[in-house]
Amino acid sequence: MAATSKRSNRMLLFAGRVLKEILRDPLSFIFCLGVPLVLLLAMYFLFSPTAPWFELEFLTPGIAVFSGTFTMLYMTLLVSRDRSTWFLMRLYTSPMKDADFVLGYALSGVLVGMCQVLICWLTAVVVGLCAGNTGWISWRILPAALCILPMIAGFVAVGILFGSLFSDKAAPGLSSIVISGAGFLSGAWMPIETLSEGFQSFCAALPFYPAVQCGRCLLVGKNILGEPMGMDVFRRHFVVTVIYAVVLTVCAVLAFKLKARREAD
Amino acid sequence: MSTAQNARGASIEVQGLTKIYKSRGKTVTAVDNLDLSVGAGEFFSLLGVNGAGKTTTIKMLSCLSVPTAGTARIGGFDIRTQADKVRQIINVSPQNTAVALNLTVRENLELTAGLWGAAKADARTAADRVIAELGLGKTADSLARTLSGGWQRRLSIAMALITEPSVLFLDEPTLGLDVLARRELWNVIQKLKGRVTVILTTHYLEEAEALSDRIGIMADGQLHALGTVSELCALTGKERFEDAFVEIASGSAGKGED
Ligand SMILES: Nc1ncnc2c1ncn2[C@@H]1O[C@H](COP(=O)(O)OP(=O)(O)OP(=O)(O)O)[C@@H](O)[C@H]1O
Ligand SMILES: [Mg+2]
Repeated sequence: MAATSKRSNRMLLFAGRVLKEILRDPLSFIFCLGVPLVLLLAMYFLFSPTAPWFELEFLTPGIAVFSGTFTMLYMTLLVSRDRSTWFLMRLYTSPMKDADFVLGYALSGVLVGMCQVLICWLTAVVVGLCAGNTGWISWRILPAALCILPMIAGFVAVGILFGSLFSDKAAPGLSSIVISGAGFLSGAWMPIETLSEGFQSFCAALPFYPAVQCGRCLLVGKNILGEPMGMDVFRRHFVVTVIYAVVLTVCAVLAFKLKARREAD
Repeated sequence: MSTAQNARGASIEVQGLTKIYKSRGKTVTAVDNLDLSVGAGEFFSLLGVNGAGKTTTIKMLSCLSVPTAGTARIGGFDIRTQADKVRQIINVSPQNTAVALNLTVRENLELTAGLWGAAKADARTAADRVIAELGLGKTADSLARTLSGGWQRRLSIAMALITEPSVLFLDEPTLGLDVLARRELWNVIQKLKGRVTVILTTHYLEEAEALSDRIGIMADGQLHALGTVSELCALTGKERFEDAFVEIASGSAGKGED
């Protein structure tokens, strides 16, 4: 028992340090707040007159998921940069376990990611109120915002994975592939439902589109074509995001253990 | 004297410790079948020219790097099979300055103490102590990235001292420190004598001479001589320790060069 309490303590201390690093870095505000807010505002004001899926109730869950890719990019940079410092090397001589490192990174990353999601929704509410587009605003925003937690955890895990495996030169490039992929395949601004069935299944097998659909499902209970989506649809999509989160977290721990920590040799 | 292990340091027994690096088809034997025994509370200096294998030895003893062959026991714990136990009783001031740049001096210190297991209040007290000992008071609330190289170095050393380890590895601690800071550090280290087992590497021979109980001189990964300053001088028939060092450390120069 004493051992477990010590251990979580180390993990939390390390998470606190990572969080401080993030909050003291202006880059994190640009990545994690600036980009998603600009996207949300620009897309809504430019495109909502042209297509229904740019209305706030469909756009916001999409942008919230897409924003997570910037948390991923930021975590990638953070971990790969940490790896090149002697500070991390020094911590390898401490009694910290591999899981303390990875969970510490993950906890702070998920916190930042979820703050970003909540700010995204808050902005949408403010815009909705200002533009007189309030039909979708209700208590349902809360579950719709929170249900992408597994997706955010997945993004953070990919960030730690890339950050552990690649240098701070190579890792951002790889992240940007995921960012563009997630942009299109999530259906955040692309009407996946109007495309071929094969493509729809492909998107549904990746975590991005299911995560967006979860949010839309809980918020308005219908897709961009106006077809109803019930709890069975939610469950199907939600399970996919959870499976990805678990598998990616395991991969991140392994990558840290087998690559990052062995570099001290 | 108390019987607590902490009060007198822990012993180190090194047996056949070897590290072979293979990179791009080339093999380098960084540490070659090292046998060594350091008593609890002893102040031991490891000297040798650049590339002699000092840092590699410290990296293996601090469980950072896995030996190719051989092993060592620290405080009775095997570095290969009981690394978790070893990590709890050691700390290292690495050859390169190792601090978290976006944290303040105090945050760096408290974090280190906490990660080695200190409760929050104890970590704060310990931080106050080393801040006073190493004269870090004026910079305590500055971000580490705003400090000069020498002050970062002091912080890096303070982070090794704060956990009150039984065995302390200091890899060229005074590198880049001004004369005053070096003197201050000597005083701090001197106070540890007898309480903590210290393994020091340095290129300042007067530092090793002034502080060590015994000195080992490495060349090409092997321990070439071992003893007190006067023993090493007697061994080589020199009066000055520097001459004795040059004789021992260069005796094999060129032997293992590639
Ligand atoms: N990661 C590594 N990969 C390959 N060779 C290495 C590695 N680390 C050290 N070496 C080699 O091992 C030898 C010993 O290096 P080490 O760093 O232990 O020397 P040192 O005695 O600490 O030297 P210095 O006084 O310059 O710090 C050197 O020849 C070095 O090139
Ligand atoms: Mg060295």
